[in-house]
Amino acid sequence: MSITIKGLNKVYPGGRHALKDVDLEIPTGMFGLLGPNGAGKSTLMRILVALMEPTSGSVDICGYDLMKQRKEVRAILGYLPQDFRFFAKYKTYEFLDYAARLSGMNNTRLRKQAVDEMLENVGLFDVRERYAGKLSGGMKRRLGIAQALIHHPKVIIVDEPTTGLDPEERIRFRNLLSTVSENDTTIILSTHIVGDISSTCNKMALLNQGEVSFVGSPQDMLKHAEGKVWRIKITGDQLHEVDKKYPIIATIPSGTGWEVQVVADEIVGYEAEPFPPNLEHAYVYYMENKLNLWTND
Amino acid sequence: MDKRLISFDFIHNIRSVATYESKILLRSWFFKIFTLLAIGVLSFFNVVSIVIEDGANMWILKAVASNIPYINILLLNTGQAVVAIFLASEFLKRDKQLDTSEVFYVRPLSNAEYVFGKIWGNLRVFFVLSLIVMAITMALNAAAKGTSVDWQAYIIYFFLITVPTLIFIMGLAIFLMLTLKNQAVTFILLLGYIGVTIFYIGDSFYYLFDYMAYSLPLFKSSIVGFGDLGLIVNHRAIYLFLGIGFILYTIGLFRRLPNSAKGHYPWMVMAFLFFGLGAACGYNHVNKTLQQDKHRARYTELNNTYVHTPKMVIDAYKLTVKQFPDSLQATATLVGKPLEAAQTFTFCLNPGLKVTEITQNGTPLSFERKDQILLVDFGKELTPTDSTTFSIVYAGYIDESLCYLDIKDKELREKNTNFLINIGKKYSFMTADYLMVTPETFWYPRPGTAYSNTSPDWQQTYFSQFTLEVEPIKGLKPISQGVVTLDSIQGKYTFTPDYAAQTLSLVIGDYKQKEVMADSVLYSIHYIDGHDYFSAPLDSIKDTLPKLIKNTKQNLERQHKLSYPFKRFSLVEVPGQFKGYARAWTGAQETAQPEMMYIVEKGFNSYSFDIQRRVKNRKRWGNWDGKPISEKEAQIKSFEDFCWLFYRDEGRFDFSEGERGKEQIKSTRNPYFMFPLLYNFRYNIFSPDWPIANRVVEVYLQNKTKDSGWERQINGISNNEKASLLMEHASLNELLGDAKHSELTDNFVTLQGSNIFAEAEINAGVTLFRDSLYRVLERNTFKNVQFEHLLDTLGKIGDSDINSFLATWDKPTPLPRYSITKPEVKHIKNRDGEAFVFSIEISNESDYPGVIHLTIGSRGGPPDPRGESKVILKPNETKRLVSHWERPPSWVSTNTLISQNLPSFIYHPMTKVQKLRNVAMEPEGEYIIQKDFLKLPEGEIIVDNEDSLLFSMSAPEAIGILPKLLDRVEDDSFEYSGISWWGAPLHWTLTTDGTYYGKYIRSAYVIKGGDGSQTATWTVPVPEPGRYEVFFHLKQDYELRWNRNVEAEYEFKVEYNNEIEDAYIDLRKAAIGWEPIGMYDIESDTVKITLSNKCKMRTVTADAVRFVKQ
Repeated sequence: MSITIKGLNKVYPGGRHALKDVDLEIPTGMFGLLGPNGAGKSTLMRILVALMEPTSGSVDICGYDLMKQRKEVRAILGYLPQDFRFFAKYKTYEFLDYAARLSGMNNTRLRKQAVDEMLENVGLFDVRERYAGKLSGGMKRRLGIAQALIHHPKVIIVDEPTTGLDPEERIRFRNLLSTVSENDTTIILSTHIVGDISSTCNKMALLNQGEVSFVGSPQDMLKHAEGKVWRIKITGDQLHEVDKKYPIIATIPSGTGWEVQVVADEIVGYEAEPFPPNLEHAYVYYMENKLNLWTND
Repeated sequence: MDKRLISFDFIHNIRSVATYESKILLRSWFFKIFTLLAIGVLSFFNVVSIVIEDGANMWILKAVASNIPYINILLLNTGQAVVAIFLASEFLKRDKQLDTSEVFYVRPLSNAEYVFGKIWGNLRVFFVLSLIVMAITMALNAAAKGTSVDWQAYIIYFFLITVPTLIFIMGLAIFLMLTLKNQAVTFILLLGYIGVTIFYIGDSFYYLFDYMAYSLPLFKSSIVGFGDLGLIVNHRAIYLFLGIGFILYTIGLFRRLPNSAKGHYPWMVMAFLFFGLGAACGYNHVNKTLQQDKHRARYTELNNTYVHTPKMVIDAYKLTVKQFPDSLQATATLVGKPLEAAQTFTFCLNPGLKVTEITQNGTPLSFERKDQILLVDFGKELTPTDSTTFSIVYAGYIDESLCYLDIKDKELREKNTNFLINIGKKYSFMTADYLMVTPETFWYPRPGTAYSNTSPDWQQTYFSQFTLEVEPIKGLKPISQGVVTLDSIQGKYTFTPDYAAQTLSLVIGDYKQKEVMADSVLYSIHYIDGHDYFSAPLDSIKDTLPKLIKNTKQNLERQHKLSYPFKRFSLVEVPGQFKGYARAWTGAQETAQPEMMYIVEKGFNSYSFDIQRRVKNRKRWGNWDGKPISEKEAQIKSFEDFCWLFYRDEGRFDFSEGERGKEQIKSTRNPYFMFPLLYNFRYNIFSPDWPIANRVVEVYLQNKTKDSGWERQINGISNNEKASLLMEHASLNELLGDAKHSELTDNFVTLQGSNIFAEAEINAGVTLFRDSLYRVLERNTFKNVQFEHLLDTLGKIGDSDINSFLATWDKPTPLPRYSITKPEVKHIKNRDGEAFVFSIEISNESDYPGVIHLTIGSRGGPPDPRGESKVILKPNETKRLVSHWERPPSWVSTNTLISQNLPSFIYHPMTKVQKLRNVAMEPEGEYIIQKDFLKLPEGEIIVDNEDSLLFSMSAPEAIGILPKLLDRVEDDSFEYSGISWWGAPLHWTLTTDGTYYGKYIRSAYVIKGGDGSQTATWTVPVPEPGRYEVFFHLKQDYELRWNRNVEAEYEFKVEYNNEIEDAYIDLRKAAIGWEPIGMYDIESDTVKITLSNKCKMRTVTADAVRFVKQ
């Protein structure tokens, strides 16, 4: 296993229990960490990248004990934080060069070469002289992932990377990560956007209220929702009523009324037909039915 | 901590962080503007002060080239220190934008690498800026004419000033930022800290808090380098270590998980280690000063113990000195005679010099050494007729703590600065290529002790015949008093003064000499090789120099009525740190020695020495006046300007402000004043009972009883007046032995001296008596003259038993007090002729006799010798003085000398001359008359501010704790103070002036003009009801002259008949003297007049009120 997490707990000074006995085995490849806001994803990420100390538990990353061998762990890590801004005074290539230098790339010539290659890879070569603060949102994200990848880390941790990106940028970003994950690299992708995981990860975990409530492949997750997703045709007057009874995933206007997608074990009182589930359906079903957490309020 | 702390990665990571930290700094506008300003301002300063010859042309910078980098780096450093605070805290603020920093925090670099990198990134930008400024300065320095480039100084000052300051302030800034977590609070604290240290603490607490090195004596002499490099390095180490400590502590506190679990502990430990080192250096610094004070106290105590032990008079000295780097080895052979019979005699020798052997005719003598005291046991009793020869062998260095024991610690520690250049103070030098020892160091054994604060006996010196043999370090040349001969084979110089001297001094260095013979005196300049900056600007007057020098010499001799007694006169260049002090008991400072003056290197501290500029200025001024002068004339005038330096008694004036509004001024005696060479080194008047005898005569000849008017005005009371008031409570001997009043010694001596000669002066005439004294002295050149014998001789001339007056010195002096009427002048023409008849009446209203000095002057023409006179007044005696004059007297000054009167010196201008024809002239003479000066006319009452029963003031406001803590509140035991007119006092402050009202004390209370919250009240008892005109006594307020638009009105409240009325005086319309407030019908038995400080003027003065019944 690339990363082994055992009995991980984090209690903040205020008493908030952010992580509760988290046990996880994360193999090489893309690993998705899914969960609602406040589930503890960011806490877990920050612990994994040695920015925060857990209250208890152990983490082994590629054979290194995170608590004792931070330097070694940091040497094999790449990290893209959630809200990533830049020092406005650095140019694009300087930012990348700085990150490369701090990751131990001491040879100037090789480093320059690596920086240029990486800029090419993320499509920022043409704006290499531009101040990082003046890049567009998507470019900034790409620069962010570039700095996380520049030193070819074994483990890459990305926290909510696609938030705020337009669909095209989002796809480019996912593809980039997928490409990287092919090189015997572990990528932990923390997100609350289900689509990010379904299209890239072969394993995932669902974190909720600090606890791991599901671990498996996205397909395993899908299985939970098979036969539980329904398409209902209703009139406008019934929409409110359905919304109260079932978690609605999609609402599409159709001629005289609405065509809504809901997750439920069974539908009573409406004209419903089964609908093939996707991961988003599965996530909602799981949250609603397994954990009884769903709310449309 | 990482296992490989100093590894390649360590350096690499620091460099990486630093590189990018520097980029941010370099790209910030704030820094760009600062850089431009720093380079611009300092370049402009350098161009103006050293490059452009017609600019400010600062001699202090040009004369000693190291001052150029010193001042530049000091100024730049201050700017950098302030900017560094902003930037240091800025980078931590930036790091608080967590997500951005986190992408760096997750890298494998350690916290130490990160923090070091950040700091180094900022530091190196500042360092580079310093280097750029230094390079520009150096280039301008090289382009400047008439100065050299001390490139070493650039490097040294960079390391002494810039490096520790920046490391400290950055360390402190990030430390505070991390602990306080608030940028604004950090700024306020640090800027406050800078402000407090520069403007408030300054050099207090032994300049321990001076992290920017403003108070540190960083002057680098071109002869001996730094004065005390150990002290400087130790002081800078305090801040370097503390700075490093703060940085290390910051690593420990840094909010990022260290690379290893307990990685921050070692840094914390190291931080405390550096704090400890800083504290140790701080302790060392303070301790060094305290130890010096302790040594000084111990030496004085020891002198007190031995001041009355048996002493010898040394008739002849033979000194043999060998110079070593940092030390000397000497043998002193003394021929002495005891002053009293004894077996053991006391000598004083610098405690740094260790005595190894004392022999008499080859037989060792036993001796005891206690610090500076050397007790020599001759094995048998010696009587005053026994002349004995003995030799003392000693070696070592000079402990400067022995020097100037009579000077107060505070004065000794006072900074010796000139335009931000902190020169420091040294009294002796011993380096590998330079040596300087003056008598103050006791570099050879002298009989008796050094300064004692319990008895003035230690002051007594005697003339001795000296021979000095010096073996300098090869290549160096010694300079001392007397004829010099060189034994070139042995490399030994022998100095034989052709006169008897009280003391001897010695300097050794790489000296060159220029000399010229004039009026039978050999004039030399001994300068350090390479320091001849004066020959070229005076090249046109080479041949004229002897004549010019002769003129100067003769002028000086005429001025002081004393001839120059030596066959040689030398100006000897010595290191800049050399410092002498004005002494209370002699006019001579250590800068003046027999036949020579010590001039600090190139005379850097006085524009008088900037010959080249003087010549240029002379030419320029000639052109401005439309009277162009030739190069030669300009050089002649410049040389004469330079010679003026030796004429002046007073050098610079030091103003000091204590509590707000209370001004103090001290005039510093000119260290190059020639008088000591004409008097002090030539005459020696000794007295076993009165060691101040020589000074009595010296100050009498200089006529020092008159106080400088404006200086007195600033201080509110003169030193003579202070001395006079103190003499009422203690005898002269007690006052001379009281260290508290050491600065007044000269004044005690002056006043008492003038007192004992008064009768003789009256009998013989002041001018004639003085001339006789000069003649008696001339006959006793280079001889020890007993004071009592001198007084006998003078007594015969003046028909007075002067010696009998000495008895009054053993007792306190009761103070008489005088009333003096307005002097009058009548121009009378009658059958017998025509004359200006001057008259004045003086009344001694006390039960003690006294003397008044009267000077009558007139405009134009030479001074009349009759103008100076003294008047003796018996107890309760009133005299009318009448004298006739061909020219109208235009002023008279009265000096009440030892009296209660304040001011003692009053100038009375006489502008009105009454013209009378055919009336009899009152004959000249002193007439005893009966007149009650104190009695006021019927129905007139005056209440003065000196009347403690009838005059009162509102309560003062409290004084802050900080000024108290920092000793800013001066405890002046004299109740009268000077008034600072530009920062007027916030409390009613008592001051005196001749133009105030007062019976004996012409005083008034002064306060800052304000809102009316402070008041002064005169409660006037009215003898009988009736109509009174009320007056207020006004002195001219000079503010009216320059502040033409200010509303000048005093506001009064007059409380009478159970009512209060307002009254005003418009100062612009008011007369000087008694100005009417108004007319009042008074029925009550008292009237209260209250003056408030509600006034737009800077000051409000409360003096006296007068009621006149109509």
